Amino acid sequence: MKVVFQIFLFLFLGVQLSSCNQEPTLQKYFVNHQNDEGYVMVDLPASMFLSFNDELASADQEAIESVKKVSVLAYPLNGTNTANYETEVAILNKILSQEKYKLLMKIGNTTKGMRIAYLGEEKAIDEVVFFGNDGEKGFIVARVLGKKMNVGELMKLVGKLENGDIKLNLKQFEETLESLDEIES
Amino acid sequence: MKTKTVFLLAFCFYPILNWGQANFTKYESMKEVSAMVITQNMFKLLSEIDLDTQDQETQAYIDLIENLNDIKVLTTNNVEIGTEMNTDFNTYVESSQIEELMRFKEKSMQVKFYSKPGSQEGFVSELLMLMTGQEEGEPITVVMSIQGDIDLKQVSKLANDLKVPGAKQLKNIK
Repeated sequence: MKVVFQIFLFLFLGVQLSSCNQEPTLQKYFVNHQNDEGYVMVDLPASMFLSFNDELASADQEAIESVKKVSVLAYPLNGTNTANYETEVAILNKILSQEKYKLLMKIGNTTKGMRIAYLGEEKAIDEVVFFGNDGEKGFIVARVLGKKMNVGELMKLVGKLENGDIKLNLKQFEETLESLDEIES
Repeated sequence: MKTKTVFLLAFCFYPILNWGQANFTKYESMKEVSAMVITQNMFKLLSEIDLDTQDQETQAYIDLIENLNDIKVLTTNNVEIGTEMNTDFNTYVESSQIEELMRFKEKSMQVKFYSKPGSQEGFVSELLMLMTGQEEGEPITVVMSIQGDIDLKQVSKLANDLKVPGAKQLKNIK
């Protein structure tokens, strides 16, 4: 009896583990599609627009360093790729419906909408995901990647930015946006 | 043996026990339905942010948000789905201990509010709204559900901010 139980346990664990590995993730999706035709991929390291400053308190420094980068993947519609758009939106919806992506909010319907979710724990967020799709324009997935991001601490930072205690280095950021505009036009 | 039976029974009855929760989830994925969902995760995150303010009114508003569990608003212009929502809404109202809070008619809209008693006077644990009628000549059905520890005095402000229909009338409940 005991042996049978052990075999069952083993099989059960085996199935669990293998299913884990096959689980689709956004990371895989990004890697698989970043070079595909029709996709636009942009990576923005956080250091690009958040300049480090020695004068900062260590808590702020930590908050800044918890954000690693912003990664964006977009698929604009051009009139011929609607069918593919629909398939991909369905795949992304499926990925994001997994329980580990904790839904924060969603608005809209299947043809036009957006949702925001996160990975990790309430006080230590590893990734924030924004997914928006529009049946006339295309879809966009933006991921804010980091390590143990704390919304409270980050919001404090934002507050300090508004007060001018910390300077945001937007010059490079704007330049990137401009070059993006050029690519699109 | 006995424990087994209990488990089996619990398992069988679980779906029925679960009925108590208003279940409008199926509508979220329908093409003809527009949904707005804000989950508990969001409110938890919001409560992480220190929003200390001297203003009492703002503080009351923050308290309301921190004590919310989830908000769901479903809107459809499809008559058939609207009717189905209506039926589901009524079934839920009948099956649970939920009381009518108010009802009114405005222009071509019929609005009903229901609520479950909450932790104290002036608070509710659930607020439900059903709105049916015509908007700009199109049939419209809206279901809104808010769960949490809700201060009725503050909720109209929130409804207003979220542009939920019926927000104005909510102001009148005291």
